[in-house]
Amino acid sequence: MSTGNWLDARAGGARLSRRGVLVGGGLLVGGGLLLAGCGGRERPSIESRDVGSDRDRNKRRLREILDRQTEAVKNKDEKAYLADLDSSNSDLVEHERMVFANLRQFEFAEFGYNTRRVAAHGDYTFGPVFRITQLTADESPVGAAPAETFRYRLAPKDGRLVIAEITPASPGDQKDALLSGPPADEAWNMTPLRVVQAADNVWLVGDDSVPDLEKFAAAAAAEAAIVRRLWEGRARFPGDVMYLTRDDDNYRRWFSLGKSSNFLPEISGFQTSRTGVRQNGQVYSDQRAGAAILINLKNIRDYYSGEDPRVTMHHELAHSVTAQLRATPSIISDLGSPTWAVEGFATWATGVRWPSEASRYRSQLRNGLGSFKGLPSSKDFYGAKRSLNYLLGWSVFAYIAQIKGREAAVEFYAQVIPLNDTLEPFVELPIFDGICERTLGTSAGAFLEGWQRFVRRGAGA
Amino acid sequence: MLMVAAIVGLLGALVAGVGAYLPTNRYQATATTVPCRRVVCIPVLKASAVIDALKAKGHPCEQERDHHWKCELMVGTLTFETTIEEVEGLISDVSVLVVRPPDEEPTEAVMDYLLWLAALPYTADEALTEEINDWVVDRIEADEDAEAEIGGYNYYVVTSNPGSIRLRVIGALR
Repeated sequence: MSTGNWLDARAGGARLSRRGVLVGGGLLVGGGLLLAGCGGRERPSIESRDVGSDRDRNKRRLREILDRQTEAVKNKDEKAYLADLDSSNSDLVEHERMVFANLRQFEFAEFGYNTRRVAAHGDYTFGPVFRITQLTADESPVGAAPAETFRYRLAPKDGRLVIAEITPASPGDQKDALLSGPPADEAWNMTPLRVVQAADNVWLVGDDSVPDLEKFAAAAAAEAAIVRRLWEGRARFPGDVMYLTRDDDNYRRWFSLGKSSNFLPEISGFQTSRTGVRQNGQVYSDQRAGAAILINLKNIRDYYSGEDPRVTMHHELAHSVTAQLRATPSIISDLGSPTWAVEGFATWATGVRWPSEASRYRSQLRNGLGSFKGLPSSKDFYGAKRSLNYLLGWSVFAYIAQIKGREAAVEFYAQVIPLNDTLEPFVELPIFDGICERTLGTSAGAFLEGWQRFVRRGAGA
Repeated sequence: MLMVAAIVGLLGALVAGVGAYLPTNRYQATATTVPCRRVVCIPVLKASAVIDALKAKGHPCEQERDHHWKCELMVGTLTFETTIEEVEGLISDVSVLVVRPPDEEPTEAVMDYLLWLAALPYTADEALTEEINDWVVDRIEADEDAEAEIGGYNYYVVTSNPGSIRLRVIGALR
């Protein structure tokens, strides 16, 4: 027997034709018997186990239920969505009724359940089940769709299996094999929501503390359009979704914001990113799969008269519109893009939009400069000196805009953010020197000297 | 078209490598398992040889943790993922996952890939290999999850997740 023939036989013979299989198998079993007759070691045989196990059947049943729920969401059919729940568990039914009422208002590019990594605990508990919720706002060529992770428990009820329990994954569950994956902390799992389309692929989502959601649509649409124009044709998610609330508890719970290391309850807005799962069930963390904005209108009231959310919207939109290019934490560095660039750009973009804001930043920087040494590290950016850190970040882009123009500032940012910050100063890396040469036509050293002079002399006009 | 060419090429390299190590198809001459710590492994065939062959055919392979490798190739709508557990340089646990559009029948290339794995422990035994192939093909055709003990190895076929087929071969505990 030659290996080449063996390969040829397999390459031509492997197919799903039962006739071919039976004929081929029959002939070769004969050959096998002949071999066994040669004596020596006993020839292995195929000992099939009982494969129609309860666990397998139950897993299939779960898959059927999830497929029906997928169709139900697509068809906006609440009855079908709830049909396979344990009807005696009123908490579960009411919770899922709320989730359904929320989901049906969103526009999905892809909705469904991915069970490719599902494992079992006993015969009835399965996970991780990934719920794929790619909004039209999130569509991207990343190849991974935003997902949330759940563990399902089935139970026999009136002669059939129903869903008895759905456990959402939280950020702390990553070591639990049945809950390992993107956390299920989207607002639609927690709070009754209302969704309003503000413009082409601009969406506002509010809880019951924002009965006047429509009032903010014009501002959201206008700010999104301006930020998108600033970003020009660079890679971005096609849409923007903003969650508005005046409820501090929801603000803390949605997207696990309160568990984030840099959460401060008085901050007026945050931008969060969505983690994707690929078709093969692999959690894909090398790029973001979507973005969302959260705004606490109650906090804005403390800063801007009339609860005007436009400055906050603009700042967070500068994050979310550019989120697709931002580095994600990697094995090499868990810092993400340099924070001075991320926050500095968003602050600068807001100052471009409202020169009065830029004047405010300038005078605050002059007053708070103190013993200024250079750009802040990402590690403690949001610490005690965060106000100054934001302003120093802003001043980098203000300086570039002054010497090279607005477009150069945007391009500089676009080239910095795909890179992870490092514990040694990012601006001392050779790659930063390359970015300065390409986008500003100067070395990193010359650029940093010029910027420091700019800051010390009052950061512009 | 690209997909078929890529996968057939891969099989060619791998099986050629395997053949060179296993010069005979007689059981009396070749052990089918070898003890490796608490389990059994595929004799002679080094994990690194399989990984190198996969890499040579364009599969990006990553060592996910100590003694655990993952090689993944995405071609069009198909994903081929091989994971290998290595013990003392040999293979104790190997699986392939093929992900494809759920409504499509597995193509010949997909089946070749799965059957390549199924045959790994018994490459030298043409007849047994064919029996194993039949068992695998039958289960996939029937769309059934299945388990079998074959010699010193446990075989698992998982088809119950739409659009994916997983075949896993694990050396049994000693």
